[in-house]
Amino acid sequence: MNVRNISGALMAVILVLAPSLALAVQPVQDTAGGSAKWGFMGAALAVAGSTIGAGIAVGLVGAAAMGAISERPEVAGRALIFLGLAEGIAIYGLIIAIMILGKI
Amino acid sequence: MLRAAIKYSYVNAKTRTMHSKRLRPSDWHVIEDVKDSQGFIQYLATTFYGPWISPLIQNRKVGPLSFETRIFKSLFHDYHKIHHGLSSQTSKELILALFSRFEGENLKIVLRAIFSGLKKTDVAHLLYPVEEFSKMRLEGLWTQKGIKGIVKLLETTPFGPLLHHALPQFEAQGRLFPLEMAIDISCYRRIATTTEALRGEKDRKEAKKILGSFIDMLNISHIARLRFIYGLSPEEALNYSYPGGNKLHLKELHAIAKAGSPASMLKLLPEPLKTIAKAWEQQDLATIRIGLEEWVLGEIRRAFLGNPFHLGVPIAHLLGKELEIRCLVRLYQAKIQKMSRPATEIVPSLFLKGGEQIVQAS
Repeated sequence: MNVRNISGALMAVILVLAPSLALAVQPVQDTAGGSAKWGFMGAALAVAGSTIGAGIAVGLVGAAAMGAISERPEVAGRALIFLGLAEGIAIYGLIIAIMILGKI
Repeated sequence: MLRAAIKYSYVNAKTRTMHSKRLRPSDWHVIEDVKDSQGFIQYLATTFYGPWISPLIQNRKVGPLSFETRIFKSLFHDYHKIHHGLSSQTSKELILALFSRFEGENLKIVLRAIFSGLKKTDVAHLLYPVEEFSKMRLEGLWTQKGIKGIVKLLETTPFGPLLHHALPQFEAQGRLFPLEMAIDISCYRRIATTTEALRGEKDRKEAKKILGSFIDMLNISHIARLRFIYGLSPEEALNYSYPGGNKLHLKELHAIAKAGSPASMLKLLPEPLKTIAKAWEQQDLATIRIGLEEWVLGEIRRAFLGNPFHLGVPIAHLLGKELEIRCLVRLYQAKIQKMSRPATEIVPSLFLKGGEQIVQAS
């Protein structure tokens, strides 16, 4: 992987994590004695990790789908199902994040 | 692995989809059973070869060459697509090197035509339709009056150095054979060099394995033909062998070139070829060639099993399709000449029976 790819990936991680981290370090009026910031951190990590994972999966499945569809347009419907499965990975992270935030 | 998946997800899916459109055993059985060449073309027009073959249905007086050039166009279309789909420059170079064999064939036809005083129009129907993908233009060659001028004009092309080297032999012998061999050898040297230059370890290993098996097949049939049909000495036959084999390197090639007969040559082959070749010992060279094609097809199909993210998959598809087209051309010629030979003597049985199960079992 070249420097351009690594810096691009790092930038994506920072862009996803920065707002949540900023929120996490804010003084939060919670009842559990300051532990809420870890909850925010966990929710942010869940969303960030699953989004990056889904991004990689959609990239791979999408590229393969494009290759297959360009040769056989009739497989477009089936290819979309696999794209949906890859996209679903992001939703798992979002659900976990919502569950964490609901506990704070 | 992730890096390889990113690199090959598009081209691998595209290649496998192209591969899935190739002829099935049921198609082979139908074209094996059709009575004449017209029925052959009519059925083939219903397969994915249709767009290239259909125009021949209207033209009832079709020669085998017209069929050959048309059907090869579908292979060149695949070369174009795979070259376009690959991201790495070194991989693209290897695809171009593989394709240069067809440019070399065209160049040989031009050389033969000019050597025999024929015009472009006399041989135009013999040329492979490489225009879609090839950057080499042959038009300039037709203005040359002699072979020397052509060799000079080709100096800057990949064929140049070896053609220049073979020119004194051509002048001494007064025949095109050394120049033709120089063209072939420069193609295979280019393939060997570009394979070595591949960056990924897995790519290099898989490409060497598949191309090496293909080159082994060519070297065995080539040495046998030069030795036992054209009567060349072992040293000369060895001199005209191609580099980059998988099982047969210089030592093995030297041993088989020194064999006194095709049967004794087969006994000198390394394993696993030696075991496979036991079935061919009493056969003629044409049947041995079909047996070798069968072995190469097995190697090609192995490339489609296991980890799919490597350059071996597109190369395997291109070589597999080339063998399929060559078999179709052979079968078509047999139909034209109304030959009664069974298809198993013309086409490898992996095509006729379907081969995935056989490969997985081995």
